[in-house]
Amino acid sequence: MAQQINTTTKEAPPDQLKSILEAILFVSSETITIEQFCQIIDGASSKQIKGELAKLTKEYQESGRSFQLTEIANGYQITTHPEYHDWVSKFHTKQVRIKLTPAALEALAIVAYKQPVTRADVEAVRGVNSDSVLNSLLEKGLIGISRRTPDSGRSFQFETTDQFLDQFGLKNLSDLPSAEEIQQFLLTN
Amino acid sequence: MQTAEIQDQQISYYPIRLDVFEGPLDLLLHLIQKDEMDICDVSIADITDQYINYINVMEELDLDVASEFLVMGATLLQIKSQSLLPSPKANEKQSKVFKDREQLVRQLLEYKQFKEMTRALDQRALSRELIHERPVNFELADQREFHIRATLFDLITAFQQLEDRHQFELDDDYYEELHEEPITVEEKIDFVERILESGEPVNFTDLFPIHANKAEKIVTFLAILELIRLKHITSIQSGHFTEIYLQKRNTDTI
Repeated sequence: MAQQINTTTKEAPPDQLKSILEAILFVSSETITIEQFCQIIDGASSKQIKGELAKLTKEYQESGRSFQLTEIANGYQITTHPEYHDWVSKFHTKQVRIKLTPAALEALAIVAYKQPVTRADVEAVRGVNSDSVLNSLLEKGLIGISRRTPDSGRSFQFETTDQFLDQFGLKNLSDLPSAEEIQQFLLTN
Repeated sequence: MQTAEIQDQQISYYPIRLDVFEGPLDLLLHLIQKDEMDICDVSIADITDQYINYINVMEELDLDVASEFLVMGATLLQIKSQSLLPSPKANEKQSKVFKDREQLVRQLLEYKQFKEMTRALDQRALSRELIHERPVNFELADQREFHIRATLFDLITAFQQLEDRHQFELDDDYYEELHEEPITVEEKIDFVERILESGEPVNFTDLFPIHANKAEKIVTFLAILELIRLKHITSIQSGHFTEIYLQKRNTDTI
């Protein structure tokens, strides 16, 4: 998206804002953040953009479209509606989702909920050496070295990446399954 | 303990349980849940026996038992024996046992919580797979990185500069040689394709051997142009008048 952002154009007519957002979302294969929208569209505030995006979301829902506006990985993206998964997946051989072993998934959950965490923190919870699973999560880009500087004398800390949010369909970190959701899930399974 | 006896006992006790556990806590949790015990009221004596039996079976079956499993076994045995052995200082003993047990229970509870979170998170990933986004266009992604595609004009300029660099002089003799030159465009196409096989971008000038004569350079240049025309390779630049790189086109993108 980087290039499109730099080419600033004339100010967007307020009555066209929603359509402009829709047009940009339509051509993009990546999520677009509110900040990116602000950079592309001169004179539109993040509040206005959020408002128009909410209108779009509602419009798609109410008109029963086969696609939806999905809030994911700190941004927005047009995706298909889950109802059409079977048909779409026959047509569109999707980029392979990263498959995780139970051990890797367990370590990832610990990083996600406790971040930033050190290797030792993860090991303390799992009760088993976690070097190789953490390395493979790093390699797959699901976790990264935390940008927050560790306290002096402490080792590196890990945090989850936007790719993690995307893979798990999370809007942002506060969208991680809550205690209630987990309880609900356990009751129904 | 006699191994044979344990094995007999185990075979009836765990007929099909051969799951690989993620760690000692995972195994403990499984044993507790199997007996429908509450973690907080767990009988350490009971669970220790089951745990040790399980480890023995794993060893009998030649499964690789990670050292962490053995450490946990030792910890369990210690808590168990401490609670059974008489101690001259009864109060002290009680509090030590209590503390070790408390710590283990806390660890188990936390581990169980993360196990549940893991399952809920996995569920989210499954829902995520039901929605599809526009596929990433790899060719566009490449262009974004390198900004622009070099034009024919850019390529000719680069070729001319190449000649300057090698201080080449045009004369009629070289034109003669072109007809006799054993290297054909087809051969050069094959050569260039093999160099670009890995998909890594290669500098335009690196495709021209320094000691190559005029004919070979022309043949190389024609081979590059032909490969670009056939859309087998692409020419990329980070900006106008900068170095040109050639890269194999991703065959998956149309």
